[in-house]
Order: sequence, then structure tokens, then C-alpha cells
Amino acid sequence: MHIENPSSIRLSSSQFTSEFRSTGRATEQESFPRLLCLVAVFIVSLTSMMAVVCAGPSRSHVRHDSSRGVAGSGLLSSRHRCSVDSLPSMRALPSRARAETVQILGERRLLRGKKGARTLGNETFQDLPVVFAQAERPVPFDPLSTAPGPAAAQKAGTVAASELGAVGAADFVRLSAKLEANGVLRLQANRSVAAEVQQEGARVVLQFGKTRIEFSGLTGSQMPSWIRSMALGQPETANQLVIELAGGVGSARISHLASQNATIVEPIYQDNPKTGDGSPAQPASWKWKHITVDAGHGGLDRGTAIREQVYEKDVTLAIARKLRWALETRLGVTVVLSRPDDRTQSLEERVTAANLARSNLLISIHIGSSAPSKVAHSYAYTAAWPGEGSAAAEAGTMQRLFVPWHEAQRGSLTWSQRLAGSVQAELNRALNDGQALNIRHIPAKLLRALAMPAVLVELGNAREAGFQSAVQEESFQNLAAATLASAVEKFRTLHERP
Amino acid sequence: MPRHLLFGLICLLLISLAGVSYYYDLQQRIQELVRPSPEPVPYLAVPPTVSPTSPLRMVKLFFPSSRQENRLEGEMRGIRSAQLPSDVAKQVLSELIGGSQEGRLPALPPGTRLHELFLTKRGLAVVDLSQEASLNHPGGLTMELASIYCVVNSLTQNVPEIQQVQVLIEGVEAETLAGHIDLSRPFTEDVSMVEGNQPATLSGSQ
Repeated sequence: MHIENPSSIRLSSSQFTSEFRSTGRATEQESFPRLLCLVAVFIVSLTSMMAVVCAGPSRSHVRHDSSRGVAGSGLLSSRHRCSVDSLPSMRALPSRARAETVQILGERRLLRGKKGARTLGNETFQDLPVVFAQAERPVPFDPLSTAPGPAAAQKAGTVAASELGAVGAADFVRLSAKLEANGVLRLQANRSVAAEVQQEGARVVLQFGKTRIEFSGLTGSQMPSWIRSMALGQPETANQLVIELAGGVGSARISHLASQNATIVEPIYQDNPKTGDGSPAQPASWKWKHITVDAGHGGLDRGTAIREQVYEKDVTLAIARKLRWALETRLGVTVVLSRPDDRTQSLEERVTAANLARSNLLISIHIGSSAPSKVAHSYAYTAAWPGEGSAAAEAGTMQRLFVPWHEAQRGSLTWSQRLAGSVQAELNRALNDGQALNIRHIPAKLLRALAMPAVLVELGNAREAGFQSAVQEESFQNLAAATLASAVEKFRTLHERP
Repeated sequence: MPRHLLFGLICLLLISLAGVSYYYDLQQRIQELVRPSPEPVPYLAVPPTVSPTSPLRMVKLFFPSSRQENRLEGEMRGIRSAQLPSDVAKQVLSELIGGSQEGRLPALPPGTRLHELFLTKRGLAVVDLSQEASLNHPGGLTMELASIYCVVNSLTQNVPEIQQVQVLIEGVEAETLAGHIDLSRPFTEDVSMVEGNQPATLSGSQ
């Protein structure tokens, strides 16, 4: 068999080999250069293909490196950064200077430059990380979490262009005043701080010991009528806040929310035993000790979708946190969230925790979602056992020694319905435009097993356009929390009446 | 055989191998691109044993109303008669999952399938739904309650042998369908949400 043209060899390799052998030496020699060419072409194309394939990742790698180079030295993670305005007195100084006098909150301190470390008075920044930023403004960072010892009391930063360092005192607490929707004053600190409260008549002094305060108060129009003035007592030491109460206000009730680094100041009126929002003053011996606030859904269970990337679980948690604060300040009881953050928690776990804690009350917050409805009404729900008996069963359960887990609520159902009535009345007033809507009964998993007065609240309708935007706003969430807190407060007077 | 020839051959082999695999890969990708949209997923994992020639019978399915909140509306549908009540029930649920033909809201979320349905002698129907029933559920308490009672009422009204309905998700007892309503206990028929009846479950007084 003779092959005229070796380039026609496009058969399988076995055929190729057998045919090649049969042609003899002369043909082999003749076709060899062409074959070599073919192989060379293949190899070249293969190499170029590989080059093309490899080019993509290597280019992106370069890009990635360069972007990191611009962003900084990579010493700091984002959590170490803090905003510029949290450094109250920032001083710029050349980082290579041997020594520099800096003034920190009125004190003159000597800052010395040293190789690998800098000293400020007797304090040395041993592990001070240096960050070079692309922005021209100083980028302060917080070495509190990274540098132990004396350096923890200081803050420092550098300016990229001129390699300047900036040092300011970190031994201060930033305190801001805010008037809440229910008329109480909230003093919010940026970190935990201990304060001693002294009350002399209409003068309330919050003494912060050696901790210095940077205080941003309320402007004239924001100032509530029950406060005459509010300022730092001694500006030079900056460690006490003085609140002068207006005439007619006998004293103020101060409550610290350690979990939120906040202090709540609430007026107690002289002539009229009512607090600012019209709720009755607290009798000496309330029996309530513990309230559970349940933020609906959480973790993998996102609840209904309010908007893209906005889910019921996030909104319920935000409202629950506000409600916790409102209840803590108004009722002075321990308020526990059934889920403190965005975590998956089964209803069984929530019920167990509330029952074991012997909570006096549970309020569960949900967001409504009803496709056909064009209105956004809010409802209070209590437990029901459709098809499993009614009042008779309730009475039976109350007399039984052992109560089935899923029927634990039967014993508290009457009180739950009164609680729901109180909640629904407040919801109708604040959120349902004054309509007289009734409470509803449902076979809810959570409510059925709770051995305490319990109510499930469903706010609005996630399908309604107006509600979709409102529910994400702080003002709506504050209103919802205040409404529910008022309802609970009213219910308590009913529940604890002798 | 000379060494350079052997080398050339090996190279050629490798290249042709790479070429063939690339060709198949390309062909597969093209096939994926031009493949027609997947067949509609059957709603029933285990189809009922029904003869296609058996006579039709009418059943009344319940779907959430698209006009009123917390209301279920009936919709008539033809299914094949079957001897076993479970076969009737499976067809009822299959039709229910398929959705309304008269513009009502879906009773169960899209993608839901019925894994299994069996009946006990005491009239309890155990309905095992796929996880989509829970995962794809739009949420909301009233919608969740409507979904459950669409299933329960459609079964109890059309299959006299069924008195109670227990819903399972992926073969196991689930806490809820969408975070509110207790699925651990069987449900009995509740027509209070059905149009024309006085609502009871969802209403109350202050």
C-alpha cells in the first residue's frame, strides 16, 4: 500500500501506524519532515492555547496585587478603623521627628519618635501599626483592640502623603443625647462606661469618674420641655454631665441599659404622678420580673420578603430590640430577646427558654403579608386549637396535674386574650387609623405551648407599597415598639391589680 | 522506530486526545444551550393507579381568594374516578398543586410536589410534601393558614374517608410551613374561611 500524500493521514493512530509500516523506509523518510511540521504546528498551537488560558488568571492576579498595594499596608483589618470624628483632638506630627509636644485635651505631652516605637510621656506605642492611606485626610485607627498595656489609652493615625502621624486621647467617651418618640431622653455612649448618678432637687448629675466625656447635646428646638439645660459640668475635666430639670418636674428616673451602653432619663412630675408619656407611675412592688420579646423568624428562616434583600427577620429583630429597650425603661423588668441576633432558632427552643425562665409575658413580633389585600392592618393573635375542643378543654387543662406541652397556653388563654385586646386597641389607635379591628385566633406553634400570657403581633402588610418603605424606617419601628410597650404597660396594671 | 518519530507520535496522540475531549465538551455545552426548557416537574412522585378510561368525577378544590383577605374560594375540577380513596386524594392534591384555572392565588408555592399520601383506618390522611412547600412559601400568617386549609378542606370535602390531615415536609414532621402555624398536630376541616361562611378561626372579640 502506497500513500501518495502523507497529509491525508487523518485516521486513527492504529491505522496510521500500520499503514506507515507497510510503506517502507523510503516513504517514511519522505513524509517525516511534513509530519514533523504538523507536530510542530500542533505544539505551537497548543502552547499558544495554553498561554491564552493562563493569561486570564495571571492578569487578574496582578490587578489584585496592585489594588492591595494602593489600599495600604494590610496591617489593619476594617474593624480596627474608626471614623475620623471619633478622635476629638487630633494632632498631626512628622512621624520621623525625634520629639514633638502635643496637646491632648488641654494637657501638654511629649511625643518622642523611636525606631519601631513611639513614646508619649511614659507610655510606649509598642505594637503601633502604621497605615498608609490613599486619601489625604488622616485615617485614624484604633489600637485598643490590638495593643495591650499603656498604649490602649491612646489613639494614633497617619497621613499618607506627608507620612504624618496623628495622636489623640482615646480615654474619652462620646456621649450623645437623643429624644425618643415616647418623650424620654436617651444618652447613648459609644462604649461601656460607669456613671454615678447624683440628684439634688431639679439637678441631675451623671459623674463619670476619671473618664472624659465628649458630649453632643440637643439644640434649642430639640430640647424637651422638661429639661431646662444639659451640659458638661466642668469643661476642663469633662467628666460630668449636668441636667437641669424644668419647673414642675420633681425628679428624673434614671435607668442604665448596660447591654446598649445607654442611659435613659425619664421625668417624674411633681404635682401629677404621671410620667412624660402619660403612663402611671410605677408602684413599689410590681410582681413582674421577666418578659420575653420574640423577634419572628431568623437565620435560615427569612420570613416574608419585604423588598429585595430586605426580609421580615431583620425588621422583626430591629423592632424587638427597640421594644426591649422601651419595656426595660418603662417597666424596669428584665426583658430577654428570644433570639438576640440573626440566628436560626426553632420555635420549640424559643418556647422552652420562655417557659423555663418563667417569663411573665411573651410578645412575638411578625410582619404581615397578604397578597390580595391593599391595606396594611396590624393584628394581635392568640392561640387556638381548632378541632381540639374549646372552653371545656381549657378548664380541663387548668385542673390537670400534667399539661400537654402543646396545650400549655390553655391555662393562660384568658389573660392572653386580654393582653391581645390591649395590644389590638393600641395598634388600632397608632397603626390602624383608629379602625376598630378585632383580635384573631390562630393555631400558632409558638403560642400554643407557652405557659404565660402570650400574644403574636403581625404588623402591616409586606405586599402594600407604602408599608414596604415605612417598615424599614426607624420612625415606624420606634412607633411600633412604643405602641406595643404602651399596650404591655396598660396590661400590667390590669394583670397585677390585686 | 526512531526516537523522534516516537516523540512525534506521542505528541500527536496527546493532542488528538485533547482535541477529541474538547470537541465533546463543546458539543455538550452547545447541547445545553439549545436544550428545550425542562419538562414540567410532575407534581406527584408516586402517581395514583387510575385507569385513563375510568369515568370523570367532579371535585371541589379550594384556593385563596385573590380579592379578599383570609378567604378561600371553591373551584370545580374533573378527575378520574378511582376505587382507593388515596388515589382520589392524590389526584385532588395534584390538581391543587397545579394551581387555579380561574385566576385565584396558588394554594401551595410553585415547585411543590407531593411525595406520598396515605390514609390510616381512622381517617387520617398523611400528606408528605416536598421542601418547596416550605422554602418557596411567600410567608405571612394568613397566607400560611390559607395554604394549609386549602389542602385540608380540599381533601376532607372530596374524600369522605378523610377526617383529619397531617402534613409532613420531606417525610418528617415539620414545626411550621412558613414560621407560624403548628404542623405537628393533624388538622380537621375548617370551612370558616370558605366564602359564604362566617369566619371563625381568624376572628375574635376584644
